[in-house]
Amino acid sequence: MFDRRLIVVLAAALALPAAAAAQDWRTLSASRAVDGDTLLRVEVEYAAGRFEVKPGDPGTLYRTSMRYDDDLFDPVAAFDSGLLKLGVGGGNIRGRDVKSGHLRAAFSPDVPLELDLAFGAVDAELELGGLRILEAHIATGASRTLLNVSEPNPETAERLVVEVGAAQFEAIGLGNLHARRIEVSGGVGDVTLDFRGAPRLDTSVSVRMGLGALTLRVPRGLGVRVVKDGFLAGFDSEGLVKRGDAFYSTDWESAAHKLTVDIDAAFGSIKVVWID
Amino acid sequence: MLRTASSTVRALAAAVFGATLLWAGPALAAQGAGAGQTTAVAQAGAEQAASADAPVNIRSSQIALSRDEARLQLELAGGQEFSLAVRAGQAYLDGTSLGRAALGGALDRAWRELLEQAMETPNADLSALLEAWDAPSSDGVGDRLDRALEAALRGQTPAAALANIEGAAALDPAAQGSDSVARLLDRINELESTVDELEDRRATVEARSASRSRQSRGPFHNVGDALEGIIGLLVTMAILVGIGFATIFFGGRKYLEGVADTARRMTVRSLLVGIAGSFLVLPAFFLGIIALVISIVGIPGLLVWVPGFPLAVAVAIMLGYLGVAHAAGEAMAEYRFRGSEWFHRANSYYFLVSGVGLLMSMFFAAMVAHMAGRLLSFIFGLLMFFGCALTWAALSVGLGAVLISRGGTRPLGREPVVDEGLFAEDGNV
Repeated sequence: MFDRRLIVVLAAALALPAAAAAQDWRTLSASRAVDGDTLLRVEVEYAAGRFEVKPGDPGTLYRTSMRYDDDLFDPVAAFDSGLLKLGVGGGNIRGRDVKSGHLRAAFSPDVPLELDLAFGAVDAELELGGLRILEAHIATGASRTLLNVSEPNPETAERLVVEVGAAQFEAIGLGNLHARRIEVSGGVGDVTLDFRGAPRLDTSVSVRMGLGALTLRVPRGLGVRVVKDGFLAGFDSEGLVKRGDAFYSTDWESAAHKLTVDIDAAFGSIKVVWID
Repeated sequence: MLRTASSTVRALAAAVFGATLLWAGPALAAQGAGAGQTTAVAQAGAEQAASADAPVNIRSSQIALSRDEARLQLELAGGQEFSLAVRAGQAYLDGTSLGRAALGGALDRAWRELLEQAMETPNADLSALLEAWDAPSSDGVGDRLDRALEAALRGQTPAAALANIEGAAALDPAAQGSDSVARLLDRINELESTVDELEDRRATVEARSASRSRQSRGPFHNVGDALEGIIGLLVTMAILVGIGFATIFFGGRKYLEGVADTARRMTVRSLLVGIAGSFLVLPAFFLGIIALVISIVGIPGLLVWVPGFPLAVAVAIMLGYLGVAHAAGEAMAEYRFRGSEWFHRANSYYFLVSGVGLLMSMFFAAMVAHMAGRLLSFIFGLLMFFGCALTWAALSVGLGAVLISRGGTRPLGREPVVDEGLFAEDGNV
C-alpha cells in the first residue's frame, strides 16, 4: 500500500512540471542496411526516459528511434567504421518531463554485437534473445532495468558486465547468453539474476554488492557453487550444502554445466531460488 | 499599422494572382494545343531515361520530425548523400530552397506522413516507398520536392537533381504554364515571407522598446525597489523575532540560551561541526531509510522518519540561527551597557531583537546602497555577498551549537557557577 502511494506521489510530482513547461519534442530515427559488416560495436549513453533494445530485420544493421526534448538534449546517432554511437546528451532536466522520451534500438540478428550501454534515470527493457552477443557492458544509474535473453545466443559471450547504481536490475534467461563470465557490481539496489535457458558452457559469476538484495534464480540440474564474503549480508542457502568455504548444489559433481558464483556483499540479503 | 500593411500586401498578391490566371488561362491552352506533339516526344524521352535509371539501394537513412521540421537524409549504395526537408515553411533540397511549404499545409502534412511511414519501413523497402510517394496535387513546390526525391533516388547529385527539375519544367509547355503559376505562387510566398519577417521585426522592436521603458523608469525606480527590499527584510525579521519570542515565552528560553552560550564560547568548534553536519544531513537521512527498510521490522518507522527527520533538521537550523542571534545580541549588549543599565535593559527578548537585526544589517545596508542605483552598484553587490556569507556562517555555527549542546540541553561552553568567596565564607562559619 505504501508503495502505491509513493508511486502516485512521484507520478504527480513528475506530472506537475510536465504540465507547467511546454516542451518541443523531436523524433529522430536512423537505420542502416547490412553491407558486409562482420561486427557492430554499439555505445549508448542515455540520460532519462525509456530505453529498449531488441532484434531487428536481418538485412538492417541497426534501426533506432529517439524521442527527446529538443530544447534540452542533443541527439547522437553516428555510425563510423563499425561503431554506432547513440544517445542524447546535455541539458538540465530539472522540472522537465523526461519520462515521455524514448530511445529504441533494433539490431541485426546476423551481425555479432559488442554492447556498451550506460543510462541514468531510465526504464530499460533489453531483449538480447535472437542477437549475436559477443560482449555486453551495462551501466545503470537510478533506473529499472529488465534484461531478457529469450533465445540462445548463437555466439559465445566473453563477458557480461553490469554496474548497477541505485536501481532495480533483473536479468532473465542468462543461461541462453552463453557467457563465460558475468560480473555484477551494485551500489544500492535490488538485483535478480535468473539463469534459465539452454547453457552451453560453464559460467563464472562475480557479484559485488554494497547494500541491497540479490536473488539468484537457478534451474534445477545446473551445478551451483557459491562463495560468499561479507558477514553482514544474510544468505539463504536452501538447497545448497556447505563444504569448506563454499556452498554446493547436491548435483555439483554430476552436472553437465556449472555455475560458480562469487559474492562479496556488505549489507543486505542473498537468496538462491530453485526453478523446476 | 504594419498589420494593416501586411493584410494589404496579401490582398494585392491574391488579386494579382487571380488576374494572372485569367490572363494566362487561354494563352496556356493555345500553347498546350500547339505544342502537343513536341510535348509527347519530350515526355516519352524523359520516361525512357527514367526507366533506365532504376532507384539505387539505400544504405542508410536518418529521419527527424519535430514541430517545425521534417527532414529525410539518405545515403545511397553508391555513396551519394542528400537531404530533403520541409522546415520553417520552406522545402529544401540539401539546403537549397525549393519554395514555400506552409507549416501544417497539405504538402507539410503529406511529407510528414511519408516520413512517419518511412520510420517504420525496413531499408530494403524504403526506396520503393519513397519512389511511390506523390506530392499533393496542384502544388508546384510539392511537385519539385517529389521530382527532387525521385532524381536523388536515382543517384543524381543535388545540383543535377535541381537542374533536372528545371529542365523537365522547361521541356513541358504545360509545366511552363504551371511554372508561371508556380513562379507567381513563389512571389506570393516571398511577399508573405517578407510580411512575416516584418512582423517579426515589429515584435522585436516592441520588445526592445518595452525593455527600454522598463529600464528608464526614472531615478526613483531604484528607491522603490530598495524600499520593497527593506519591507521584505523587515517582514523576515519580524517572523524570525516572532518565532524567537514564542520559543522564549513557551519555555524554550533555557534551550535557546544553551545554544547561544555554546555558540559564543565554542564558536570555531560549532562552525566546524555545523559544516560537517550540513554535509552529513542527506546521507544520514537516506542511510536511516535504508536501515529501516532492511531491518523489515523498522519499515513502519519510516512513517515517522521520513517526515520527522527533515522537520527536526529545520527546527535545529532555526534554533541554531536564533541562538546565534541571541549570542550576538548578548555580546553587543555587553559592549554597550555599563553597570546597572545591564540589569534594567538586558534580557533574552532584547538580545534576540538586536541579534537578528545585527545578522541582517548587511542586507539592510545593501538595500540603502541600492537606492543610489548604478552609482553604488558595486557596494550593493559587496554588501549582499557579505550578508550571505554572514548568514551562512550564522546558520553553520548555529547548527553546530545545537548539535554540540544537544539542542541546548547541555551547553558545554557555560562555565560552572563557582563563587570562591562564598566557600571561603562558609569555611569561616
